[in-house]
Amino acid sequence: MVKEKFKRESLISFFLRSGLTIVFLYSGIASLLAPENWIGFVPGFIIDIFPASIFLILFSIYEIALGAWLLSNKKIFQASILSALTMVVIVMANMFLFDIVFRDIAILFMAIALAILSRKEK
Amino acid sequence: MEVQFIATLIVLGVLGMVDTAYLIWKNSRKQPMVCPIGDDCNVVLESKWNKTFFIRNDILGLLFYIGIIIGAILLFFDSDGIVKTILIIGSGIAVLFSGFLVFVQAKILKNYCFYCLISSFITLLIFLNVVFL
Repeated sequence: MVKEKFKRESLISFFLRSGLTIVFLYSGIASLLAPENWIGFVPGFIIDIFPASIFLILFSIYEIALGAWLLSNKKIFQASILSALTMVVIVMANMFLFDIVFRDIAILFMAIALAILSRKEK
Repeated sequence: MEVQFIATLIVLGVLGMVDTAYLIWKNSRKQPMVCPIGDDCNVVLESKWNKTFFIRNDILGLLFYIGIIIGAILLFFDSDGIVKTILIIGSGIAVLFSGFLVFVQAKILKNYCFYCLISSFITLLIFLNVVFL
């Protein structure tokens, strides 16, 4: 019974991690390959203090690293919290594009679900 | 050529690489696999069907995914469509081969290896992605 529960939880964790990894890897790689398609998502307050192209490169590297972390299955609670925070920032910074980013809310809740699933019970 | 398709190809290649590298790593440490779908992965991984021409299928898979990533990068310089043709033929053969291995798992071994099924699914997605490139 306990073994079955463990297997089911590993499977759920696997799919949640895979989904989040695909999202972060894709956006990281795609924005490195074609930054012109993504530069419009960089919020104005960032552009005011930082060159958008450099920010985009740094953010892409961060996303790829986050994707790799999720895939590694190490310290998943922290990785999923960071993923959730990242999604909150992305949604908040692009509220004016809500018709595009509303799907990111589903990704945010995936990250929250993964955090709950991977949190060690005391 | 759509950059989105190339990015997707790289992502799928990386995921496939991680999947097969995990199988190779587990095998090198002689650790039994824990299969989250309930079946016994080890029945599949230790069967005679896990080798093709004396090479383990996970190693072949890893080489395939590395080839896909290299091919995806080369697509940027593919003015005459040769790389795309090679990718279509290569991934087409891989889809047929992985389909055969899924058949072996279902009908002959009557056990499924979760990580092999994931690899087959990624291969199918790679093929579809390359066709629509």
